[in-house]
Formats: sequence, C-alpha cells, structure tokens
Amino acid sequence: MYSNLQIAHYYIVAVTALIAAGLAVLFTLKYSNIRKRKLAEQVSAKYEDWFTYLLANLDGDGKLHPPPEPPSAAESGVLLDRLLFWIDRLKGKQQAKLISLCEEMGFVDRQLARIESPFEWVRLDAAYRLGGMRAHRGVPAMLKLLEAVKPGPLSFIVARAIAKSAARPGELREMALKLLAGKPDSYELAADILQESELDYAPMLAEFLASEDEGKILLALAAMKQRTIEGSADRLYELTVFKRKEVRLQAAKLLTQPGSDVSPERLEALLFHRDGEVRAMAAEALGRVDASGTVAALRVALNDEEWHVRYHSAKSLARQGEAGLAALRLAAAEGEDGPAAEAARAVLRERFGGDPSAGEEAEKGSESAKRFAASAAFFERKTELANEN
Amino acid sequence: MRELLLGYGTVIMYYVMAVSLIYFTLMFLSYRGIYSMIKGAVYSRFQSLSGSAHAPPVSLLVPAYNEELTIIENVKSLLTLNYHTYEVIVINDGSKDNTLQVLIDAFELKPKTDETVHYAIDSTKIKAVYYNPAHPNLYVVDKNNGGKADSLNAGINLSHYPLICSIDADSLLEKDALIRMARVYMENPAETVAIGGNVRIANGCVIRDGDVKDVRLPRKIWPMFQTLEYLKAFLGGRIGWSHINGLIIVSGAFGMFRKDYVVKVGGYREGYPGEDMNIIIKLHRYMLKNKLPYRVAYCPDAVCWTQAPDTYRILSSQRKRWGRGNLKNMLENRDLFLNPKYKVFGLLTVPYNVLFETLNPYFKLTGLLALIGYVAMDMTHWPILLTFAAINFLNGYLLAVGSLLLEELAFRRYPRMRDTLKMVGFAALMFLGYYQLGVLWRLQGHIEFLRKNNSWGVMTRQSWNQEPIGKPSTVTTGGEA
Amino acid sequence: MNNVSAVRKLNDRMYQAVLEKFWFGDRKKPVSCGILLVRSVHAYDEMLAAVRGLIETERRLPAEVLADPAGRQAAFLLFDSPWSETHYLALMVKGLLKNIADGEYAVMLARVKDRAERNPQWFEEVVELFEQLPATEEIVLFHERKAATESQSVLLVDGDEEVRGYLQLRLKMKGYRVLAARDGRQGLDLFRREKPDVVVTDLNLSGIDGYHLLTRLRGEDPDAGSKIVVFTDNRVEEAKRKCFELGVDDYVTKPFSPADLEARIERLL
Repeated sequence: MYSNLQIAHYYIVAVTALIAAGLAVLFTLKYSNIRKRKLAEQVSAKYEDWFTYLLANLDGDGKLHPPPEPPSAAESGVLLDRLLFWIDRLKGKQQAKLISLCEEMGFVDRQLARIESPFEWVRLDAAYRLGGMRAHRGVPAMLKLLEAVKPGPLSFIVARAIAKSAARPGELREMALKLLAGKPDSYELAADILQESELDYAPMLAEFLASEDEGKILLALAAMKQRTIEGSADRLYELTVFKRKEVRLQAAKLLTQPGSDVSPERLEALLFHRDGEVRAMAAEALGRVDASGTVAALRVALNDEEWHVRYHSAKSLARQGEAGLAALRLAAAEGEDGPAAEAARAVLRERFGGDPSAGEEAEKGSESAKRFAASAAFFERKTELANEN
Repeated sequence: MRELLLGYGTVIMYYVMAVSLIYFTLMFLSYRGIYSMIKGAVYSRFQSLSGSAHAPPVSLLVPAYNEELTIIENVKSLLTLNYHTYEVIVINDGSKDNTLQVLIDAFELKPKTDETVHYAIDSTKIKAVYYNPAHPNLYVVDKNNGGKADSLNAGINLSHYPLICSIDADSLLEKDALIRMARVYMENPAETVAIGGNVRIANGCVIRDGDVKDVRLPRKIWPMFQTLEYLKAFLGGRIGWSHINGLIIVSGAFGMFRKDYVVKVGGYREGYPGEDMNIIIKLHRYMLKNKLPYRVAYCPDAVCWTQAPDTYRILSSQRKRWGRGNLKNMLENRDLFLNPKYKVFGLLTVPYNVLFETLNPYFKLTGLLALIGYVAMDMTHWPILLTFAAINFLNGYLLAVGSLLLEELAFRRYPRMRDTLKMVGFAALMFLGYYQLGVLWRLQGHIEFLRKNNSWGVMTRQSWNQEPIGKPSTVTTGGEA
Repeated sequence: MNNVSAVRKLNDRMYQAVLEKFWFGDRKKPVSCGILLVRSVHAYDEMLAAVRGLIETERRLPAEVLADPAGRQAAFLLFDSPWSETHYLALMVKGLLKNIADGEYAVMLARVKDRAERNPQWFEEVVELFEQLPATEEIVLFHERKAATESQSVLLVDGDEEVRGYLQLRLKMKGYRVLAARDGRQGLDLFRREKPDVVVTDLNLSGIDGYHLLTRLRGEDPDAGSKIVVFTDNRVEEAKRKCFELGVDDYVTKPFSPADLEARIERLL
C-alpha cells in the first residue's frame, strides 16, 4: 500500500516539474513573439520611404538601389519578406527588377549559405526564400533537399521553390520525376506547381503523355487542363482504353471538354465506353455537336444503365433541335415508367416547364461573347507585340 | 471491506494515470504531426492557389432550421470565401419561422425549374430549389423537416461537385479556410476521404462583415471554459489522432468529405445526434473492410468560428446531447472494439473512446466514491484522497499547458500576453467544478439515451453581434446594402 | 507680406531656370527635370552645403540650386536625370537630414511635366503645397490636383491594402483621379457618388461577394458608361466566362504586369 502511494507521489513531482517547465517555455515564447512583431513593425516604418521609391520606380529604365543605409541582418529578414511579397504579385520587367535588387543586396547569397544548414527547418526556410527570389543558383541545393525530405507537405514546398527558380527544362523535369517518385497521387498539385515556372515545359508534357508510365501520364493529363498540347487528340483517344481507370477518366474529360477538337465519331464511340463516367461525359459533349449520327446514338444511350448517362443523353437530345426533341417525346410517351422515359420526361420538364426568358439568355450570351472576344484579341495582340520585342 | 475500497480506489488511480499516459502520447504525437502540417501551411501561397484551376470544386452544405435571425449574415459570409469554384447549398429543413422567405427576399431568389435532382442517398424529397443568376454560387433548397443528417443528405443529392463540406448554419468560416482544406486534400487526393477543420470559439471576438477582425478571449465564464476545452481537444487531441490515422470525429461545424465515399457508406445517419462521429466511423469501417488505403486528415489551420453557448441551460443541453450521441455510436459499433481487422481504429481509437470517454464518468465517480468511503472508515488515511485529487488535477493541467504551448508554437491566434495569463489561470479554475459538471452532463446524456429521449434540446440563436461591451456594433443584420 | 513675395520669387526663379534650359539648352532633346524641395528649419546652411555636396558626388551633371534663406528652404533642379535617380537622391537627402536637422524638416519631390515651360502656375502650385507641408518624416511626392472634370477617374476595389496602395500611387502618377475602396460595400458607395470612368475590382471581397458587386454595378449603370475591369487571383475559365456574362469589359489575373494593367485601362477609356 505504501509503495503504491509512493509511485503516485513520484508521479506528482514529475508532472509538477513538467508543468513548471512548460509554463516557462510558454511565456518565454510568447514574449519573444511579441518582440519580433514589434521589431517587424519598426523596421517597416523605417524603410517605408525606400519601399515607396521602389514601387514608384519599377517601370523606369534605371536600376533600383538598395537603401542608403545598409540594413542589419535582423532588418534584412523583414525587408526580404516584403520584397518576396511583391515579387510574387508582379510579373514581367517589374518583377525582374526586384529580383536583381535582391541579388544585389546579398539576399540570395545569404540563403544559399543557409540551405547548407544541418537543421532541416532552416534549409526549408532557405529553399522557400530562394524560390521566392527565383534564384537559379539555388536549384542544385534545392534538388538535394527535395531528395532528403520525407514525401509529404514539405516536398511540395521545395518542389514549388524549384519550379519558380528553374532556368533549364532539365531541372524542372528532375523535380517532376522526384515528385512522382513520392507516393501520393497528387497530380493536380504537381501540375499547379509546374505552372509556377516561366519555362516552356510543353515538350516535357508531350513526352510524359506519350510514355507508358501511369504517373507521368496522369501528370501530363492534369497539366493539360490549363494548356493544350498540339496534336494530342489521338494519344488522348488511345488513353481512354488504358489499364488504369483514372487515366481513362482524365483523358476522356479532356476529349469531351468544350473547345476540344475531337471528331463526332469518336465521341459517339465513347458513348459506349465501358466506364459509366466516360459515357456520361461523352453524352454531355454530344450536346454541342451537330452531326448526322448523333441523334441516333443518343437515343440508344437513353437506355443506359447509369442515371447520369441517361440524363445527359436526354439533355443533349434537347439541344439537337427538332429531331432531338421528337426523339425525347417519343421516348417519354412510349417508355411507360422505364428509366429512359423518366430521364426524357425530366429533361422535357426542365426545358418547357418554365423559363420564358430563354430568349433573353441567348441575347446576353452573344453580348458577353463579343466583349470576351474583344478582350482576348487585345491580349493576343499584346503577347504578339511582346514576342516581337 | 476497507481493503476492497482501497484496492478499488487505487485501481482507479492507475486508470487515471493510464488515461494520462494515452493523453500524453497523443499530445506527443500532436507535436510531431504539427511540424510538417504547419510548415506546409506557412510556406504555401494560398492566395495564388485559391485561383488555380487545379484546386477541386467544393459544395458547401448548410442545413438550416429556424435560423431567420442570422442566416443572411452567414450566407453572405460564406459567399465571400477566397476560393475560385464552389457553391453554397442552404437546406431549409422545414423551418417554422421565416428562414426560407428571408433568404428569398434578401437574395431575390426564384424557383429553379431546370434542375433535376438524382437521389443517390435516400432523403426527404426536395420541394423546390431557389436560385438567382446574380448570385451564381447560391442554391437554397426547401424540404420538409427531417433533421440535420437528412438535410445534409438532401444537399448531397443536389450538389454538383465531387467534394462536399458540411457547415453549421452558425459557423463563420475564415476566408482562406476552404483553400487550406483543399490543399490538404490535393496533397493526397486518392486516399483522403475526410478532412476536419479547427473550430474556435468566437465569443468576445470583434466581428465585422463576416470576418473576425480582432481575436479576443470571451468575457463570460462558460465560453471561456469552452475555449480551453476546445483548444485541448482540437490541438492536443485531434492532431495526434490524425497523425496515426485514428481520428474518430470530424466536427460537423466544419468538415470536408469526398462525396463518392459518403454516398457509398449511405450518407449521414438520420434521426439521432452524433451523426458527425457516425459518418467518420462508417468511413473507417468501409475503407478498412475493403482494404483501401485511406486517411482521415485534420487541417488545424483551417478555422471555423462558432458561438459557444453562454448559459448553463444551453451548454448542459448540448453536452447531454453529445453524451447521448456518443453512447449510441459506441453501442452501434461495438464490434470494432479491440478488433484487429480494423487496425489502429479498432485497436486504439474505439477502445480509447469507450474506456476513456464514454465510460469515464463511471470509473472516476466510482473511484472517488470508493476512496471517500475508505477514508470515511479510517480518517488517518485522508492524504490518499488528496493524492487522488492532485493526480487528476496535475494531469489535466499539464495537458492544458501542453495545448497552450502548441497554440503558441504553431498558431498564435491570441496575440496579447494577458490572454495567455488568463488562459493559464482559467485552465486551473476548470478543475473546481467545470470538469465535474462535464461528468454530470455525460451521465445525464446516458440516462436520456436509456430513456429513449431523442429531442434536440434547447438552442437559441444569437446574432453575430458579439463585441466587447461598450463598443457600438458595426454588423448589419439582414437587408441589402 | 515678405513671405508671400519670397514665395513668388522661388517659383518664379524655378520657372526661369527651366525656361533657360529649354530655350538655350539642346532643343532636340526634351528637358526632363526633377525638383527636390527641401526645408530645414534649423541647420539651414549646413543642409544647403550637405545637399550640394551630395549632388556633386552622386551625379556627374550639374544642378540648379535656388536657395531661399528666408523661408529656410531650397529648390534643387536636377536636369537630365532619370526620375528614379532623383527619387533615390531624395532618400539620401532624407538620411542626411535625419542626422543634422533635428526633426524639423520636410522633403518634397516633383516631376516637371512636358510643356512645363508654358505653365508657370504649375510651379506656383508646387511651391505653395510645399509651404503648407508640416515637418514630416516622409518624402512627399507631388501630384497635380486636377478638377474632377479634367481627368479620368478610376475606382479601385481590392481588399489587399498593399496592392491598393501601389496601384493608387501609379495611377495618380499617370494622372488619373483615383478612388480606393477596401470592400464591396465601400466600392458601391463610391461608385454611386463619383461615377468613375473605370472600375478595377477584385472578385474576392469582404461584405459583398464579387459577382454580386458586378451585378450591382451594372444595375446602377446599365448603359455601361463606366468600364469594369476584373483584377483577380482567380484563373479559372469558368469564372472569366461568368464575369463577362455579368457585363465586365476586361479580366486581368494576378500575378500581374502593371504596364499591362495600365494599357488595358487606357484601352477602355
């Protein structure tokens, strides 16, 4: 009985000591955080005029100079944060000027030293900042760090830093391959990371698409959401019968999206694909197509076993003009309570159950399309001009 | 007899120490897990990611019952999240007040006729869907009363996107909460079936235009206790559990799910509280049974602010409801208890929950009574009672300090030194009655369960005008600008 | 009385100096001129000497120094100097003054416009403003105050304070009249009051959501007298399409090129 109590007493002493230690650390941490914040505010105020100078003169031809009084190491940290903020927000010549300013102020060198630190969190911080400064010189060290970190949230941070700083497509490729080697199927995130790069990685994507490796294909497919690759329609169609379902779905999604140049025959073939999702996508896409066999194909698809396929087929039939509507009415009348009839009736209800302003919608549509086209044309012209220069 | 009582009392003391050991392990795991979570969050550029086409579209589901006072503010706030493609689906669960009309008037909604709903999950039929193209992301669904779970299921049936997010009608999401959750999803999309967000207490904070402008501690005592409770539970507990993939609950106030898996497990369980824990248990069960790699993740930097009950009546009603739900969930899923087929979930999570959460009141109470009885019989051994109390107190306090330290390391939401002092003080005060009340409420919840009592209890909605006393409110309630 | 005539003298002298440079200097090249106005209540002579010295060491080209001891101020006219160099010089001057002028000083920068030789009132305005400037730590950049009818107005609606500040600065320097709002409600108010020519707005706003704001703006202004440019992080095609459907005139994504944004604004005016 006494020994039991003794254990309890030792336990109490141990826990009390831990509590005391914990409280000490807590308050020290709090105090230091408050001081850091105050310091940052002071530094910001002190260099306010210099920042105004920078922002006001981003456009001119002149070089940007560091502050007349060189900042201390602590101040540099705060200044760098603010510069990184602006480098991220801007593009083009203005961004380039800020980047060369960072180089001149020695920030790149300092971070290059830090990335060799034995502590991982320091290396991570250095990689992040080097990425923010688009520092090409740091890419080899960042690639090494990518190898060293555990696959997870941290690897994406380093990968993004590499994407921002890479000056050669080879570096970008190495980063992509390392990311793919880590386990998770985070292709969308990887594609987003690739987008940070200013390099033209379309050849790399084309190569990935043509390969037989699932990971590479999925990465290419994800990246193709934002940028089309020339002449990929055939390969995409091939991929719709790939062994892995995710590849089939993604390839089909790209083929069936508005603006894709897939032939109607292929779409009709996809309407009888083995995956329900692909059939539904094809059914939806056929609503935008006006070819001879479309109505017939859609009519058959009305009897599909998946609800989404039936529904989208019905919707697409409704967009096929009189022939389509007739087919719908027929299906609705003849099918009794079967699934095809249900879908047909639902769509007919949507179409005619209500909106007299359907005509107005079309008006507004053409107006907005005009404005959209005007802006797009302007943008294209600017890019042409930029490319000429 | 005396020996028996002492023996039993000592056993309970060991029980308490064992619970503490598990708590400490959890806290340790939280500290480990937090490193990569936080670095991942700190170094992400959410502003840019929120506009990226690679972030997945999300459907926010907001079940609403008798929320006419606050629904407009909340919906407006939900419509201004920093995310490129998402929809807000408000489900009016047959409210007896003017919730639906208030929404229709404020947003000028009209019935949407070109929408056909496919009932992937059984739910009460949707009577009508209201929409206005000027607010292209807002849908209001009207249906007959069926409960929160039923409303969520109806919302799932309507939703157009592959990810769904269940939100309480009085949750105030931070602007970047959604993109932070989405980042966690994007890092492992194939395996992530659910992600829990961090729920924080908004009482006492300065709120303007649906944004928390200044974070402060509550002035009233009940919300203050709850603030500390939530910090311990979310920061100390959930991070740790998610690190070993043993998370048993994702808060109903803010949780993201993959729609396809939710549909596969049959949607939310209707008719009884605790559906938020229940859906997670179902998901674990499904994925483990089908041997699919998965994770239920936790995103501590995605914050949802909620109003904590500030009166005894409402708070006790809420806790009794939780107790009821917890017991029902554990009973329904007792086959998972120590079942090795269910890995971490079966061997650690469920037993922990049963022994140390559900049955906690019984152990502690009986232990205390036993020791009191023992001492009553032989007053010379009163120090043992003191020891028992001391162990209880010190355990809990160490965990509280650990959570506060975690908060300071990783989140720093309470910037003032006096906030920390106040929290440190209240963490101690909680042992002078609040925890005991918690035990009582849980017991009452169990009794209600056994009596087949199934009401939702007392709830009153307050406007979001929670400001420090003396300052005029700048929140507009309802109406158009 | 004395002060007034001294003021007249300073801007007259400045005007004279610019005229001289224009008529007797190289007429083929446009005369670019940055004006640095410095006032130092104490240590006036030190200030004069120090700034003169600074200009000599930093620039190879001479500058006109017009001293006004009565007003404890001086104007330094820097010809043929890139504007960024002049601005940087001002920073250095400020550094100097912090050490010698004991808190009571003011610095102002002004950029001489084209055709300045035809516009003596401009100099008057500059000097008058400078006179009224309190002793402040900041370097003040001069912007001409134009009447509401003269210049074109731009309404900026963006929750990001830094970006808003930056765009305000740039557009003001370009000569637009700039109104800034930090959230949708403020933006709507300003729109109703001022009826700007161009609205540059983010989609991600507090208070009112972006699409709703666009609808309200078009509602207030159905014949599209004001042009709307959406300026946002949102890079998704769907969002762009929705915006054009709601009646906007252009869509710029962040990260942005400031020159590009300005060009698009100009195109719409």
